[in-house]
Amino acid sequence: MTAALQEARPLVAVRGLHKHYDLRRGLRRLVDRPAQHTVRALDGVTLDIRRGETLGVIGESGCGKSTLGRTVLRLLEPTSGSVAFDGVELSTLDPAAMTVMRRHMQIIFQDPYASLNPRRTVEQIVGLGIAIHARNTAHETRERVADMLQRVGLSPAHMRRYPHQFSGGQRQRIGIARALVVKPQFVVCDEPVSALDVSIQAQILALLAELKRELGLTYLFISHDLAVVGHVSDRVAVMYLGQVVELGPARALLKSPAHPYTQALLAAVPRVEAGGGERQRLQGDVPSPLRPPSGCRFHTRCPHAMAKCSAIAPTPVMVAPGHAVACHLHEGAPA
Amino acid sequence: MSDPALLAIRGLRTWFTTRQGVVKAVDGVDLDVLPGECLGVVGESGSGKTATFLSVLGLVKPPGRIEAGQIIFGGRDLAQLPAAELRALRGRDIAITMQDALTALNPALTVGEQIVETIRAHDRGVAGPAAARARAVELLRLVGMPEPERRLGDYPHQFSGGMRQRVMITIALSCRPKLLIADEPTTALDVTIQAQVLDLIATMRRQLGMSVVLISHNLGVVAEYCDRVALMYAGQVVESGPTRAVIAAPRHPYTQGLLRSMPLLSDPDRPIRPIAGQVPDLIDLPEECRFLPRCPHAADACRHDIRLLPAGAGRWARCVRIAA
Amino acid sequence: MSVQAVEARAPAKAATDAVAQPVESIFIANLRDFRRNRLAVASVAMVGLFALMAIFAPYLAPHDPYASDLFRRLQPPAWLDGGEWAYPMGCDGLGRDILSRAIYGARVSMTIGVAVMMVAAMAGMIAGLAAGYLRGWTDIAISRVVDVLLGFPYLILAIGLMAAMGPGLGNIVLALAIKEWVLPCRVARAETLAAREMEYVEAARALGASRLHIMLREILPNILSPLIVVCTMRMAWIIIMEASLSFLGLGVQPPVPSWGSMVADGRQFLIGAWWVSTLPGVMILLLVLAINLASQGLRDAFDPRMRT
Repeated sequence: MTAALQEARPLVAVRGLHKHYDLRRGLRRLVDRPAQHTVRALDGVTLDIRRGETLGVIGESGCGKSTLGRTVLRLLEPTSGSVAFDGVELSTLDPAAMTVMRRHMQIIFQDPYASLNPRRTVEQIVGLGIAIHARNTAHETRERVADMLQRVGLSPAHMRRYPHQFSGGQRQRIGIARALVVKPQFVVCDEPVSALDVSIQAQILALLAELKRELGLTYLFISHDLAVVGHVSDRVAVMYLGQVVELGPARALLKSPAHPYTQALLAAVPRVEAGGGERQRLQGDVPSPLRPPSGCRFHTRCPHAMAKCSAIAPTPVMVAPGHAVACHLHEGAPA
Repeated sequence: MSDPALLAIRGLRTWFTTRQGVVKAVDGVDLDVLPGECLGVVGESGSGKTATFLSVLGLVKPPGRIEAGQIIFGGRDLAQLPAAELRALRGRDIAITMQDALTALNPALTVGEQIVETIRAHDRGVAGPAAARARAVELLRLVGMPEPERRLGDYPHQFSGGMRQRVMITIALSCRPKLLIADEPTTALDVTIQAQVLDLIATMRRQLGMSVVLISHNLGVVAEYCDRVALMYAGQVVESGPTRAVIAAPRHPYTQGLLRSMPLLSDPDRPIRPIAGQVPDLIDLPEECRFLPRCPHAADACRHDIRLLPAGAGRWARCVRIAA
Repeated sequence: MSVQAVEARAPAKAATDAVAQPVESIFIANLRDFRRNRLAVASVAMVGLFALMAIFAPYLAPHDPYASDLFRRLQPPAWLDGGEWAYPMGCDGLGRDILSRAIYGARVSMTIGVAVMMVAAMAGMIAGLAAGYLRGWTDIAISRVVDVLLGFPYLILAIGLMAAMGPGLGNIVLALAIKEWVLPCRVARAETLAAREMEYVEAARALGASRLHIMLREILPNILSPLIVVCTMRMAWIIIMEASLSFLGLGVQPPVPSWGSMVADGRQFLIGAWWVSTLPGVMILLLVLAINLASQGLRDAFDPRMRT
């Protein structure tokens, strides 16, 4: 995490990414006005993911963090904005070229049950990527699957079994094997340990760290668990209502959060190690992404809200090298 | 465990007979809940923490059955109580809030109807529907619901997740129970909302002077809100004691492993060390330490039935190394 | 009290991986559940008997179903006065053996039931998969056709089509299948809509799998069970429809024996010779009942909502 390691070109460059959902159906599109029926899941996200790093994304449900992961992989088509992978603008690729590109960018899911097809064997599930991207014989495919299974801590003997014969942690290992068997450079980890028990969670985190080291992977690690994100990430982006409100080196951001939302988020986490005591609490719920507040989106819950917060949306400023925050409190702060 | 406990569970066994065999979901649980305290019950899925307290309330459904043990509450053994008396006790003396507020609330009735119904079912002191309604408004205001009069007429799906938990807590508290069992009250909620709900439970406990059992898989939640903690593993309590003391110096290898496997927000660079292996199959468990296959200190002495042993001031642990 | 159910299930799930157990797909597990249901197994056996009866009709029938003997006109069943054991169920208005004709009648019912179901299931499955997975205009077009067809009363539509196309086995299949595919289509579409949101579909897309692969390999196996259940259930209905058409004289043409037309033939003799209509009526009842019971057993064993 030194400035010297920073490269000219990030592995993934996200620029002004928007993803809006029009909730109007059929003829209502002609009648209703669009503004009140559009969910702005992503509303102008710009960030870089550097080669070899783990970029953590935290935020509460509905903040758009999962949408970000899927739009970056072009599993969802963005409404506007661009995603460049290793210098290649993904939106310019035709379906065939996109299919080839998918080998380099993969995803690991949260739900160890919904993410594995119950009617397919482990061999079929893990072998799918090989079948699509490599012209291998059945024998070679089986060997690569067996190899991959061993790598994620399963036995090749498990190949002919079905997902329902495995525990949650084992299923997550299968999901990891499926993503990594095509040797990707970049992996979106979408809440990969959220559904697992603590002791199993640690096993999977250790496995992900080990695989990253061995295979030279780059992670976009999405989670609502701040402790997990803090543990695995080099840098962290904090999202609120479709926007990145703070982005910076993980240690610095967790130690001295600059945005009031990040501060509140950190204050709300119950900790084993803490001594208790009164802490600042956020009031109210997250506003609906159908009608995001004007100006700074956090102003309705912010303890430091000022008059201009409801009027003008803050632009990101640097509070430290590589540590950006979008908040009026920090405007004019020395970089 | 000699204090006059509000609830004393002794040797509770709740088993589920399935096609594959007998699942010993709760297998010899000893637990005390003291008056006015908040007890945290921590365990991973399948540890039996929910089944234990469903047994207390007599809510275990077939094929589950309480096979043995005593559940002493107010001088009576709930395990022997007729169903009608248990039903009267539920809600009035012991209340429970469920993890999933959306399915635990009736979608076809307004929130007001559900609260009023509970009040009138248990509290004969409340004269008529109007009085019960006024009480409902007062309770909703107490749990921090904005505009309680208006929201009484809303249906559960019209509330956010955090507000639904507040409604559940309102219903649970409507008859001022002596004991509130909160089963994973914040698992489905975001951290900022989780903090609001847990603060609320803590405040209500102080105001009503009740005891709270907070069932959670999150040791952090329990560390912050509970006086005492009981850790469950594979249907048994493996360690219990004052929360601070247990976390500062865990005595059972499972507790030790659990703490080591958690990433800490205050120290992100601390290496985490997973507990190897998996939770054992609860069918046909051998009479030996349940943690044995995953324990770094496993020895021959562990190969027989281990009981909870005193392990310092107010502390208990189910490990042979304590006796040594 | 779903919490308890979850806790109770969790250990059972853990059980399956601790014990080394043979490779078993959900389909096999479902079949095992089905085999436990004795009534359903008996019903399947019953349907099987009808199928065997249809196939081996020439060997089972004691007489030629077309041979009329006017001396035996309306001869009563064997146990009544004037009956004889050579013609156990009696004879019809043209003196033909009712038992033999009823046995042959199974051929028509089974053939049409199976044929319509196969055509409808295939068409409905493909249309439903396409509508549910591709969405957009494909979905709108297919859903509109489905809505329009649902608006037509079944029997009236079939009668109109038979009148326009003329009689014949193929035409009956066509007249029934033209509306029958709607049901499997709706089931397939609904199940596909649910399945396409599953993360395993997204995982396949992330790996670059083609739409064809996702529809046929990822989604289809998961929607097959409810589809099988619905189709067997509808087969009973198809058999009744064929009987109705034949009863109205629009189905299989005489002298080919069909249960529906046999019931119709006996109608004029109902007062004096009830046996002419009764046996084919009982045949319809038994087959439809057996199929319904079997399909209910299938539903109990295969319905994903009953199993997790």
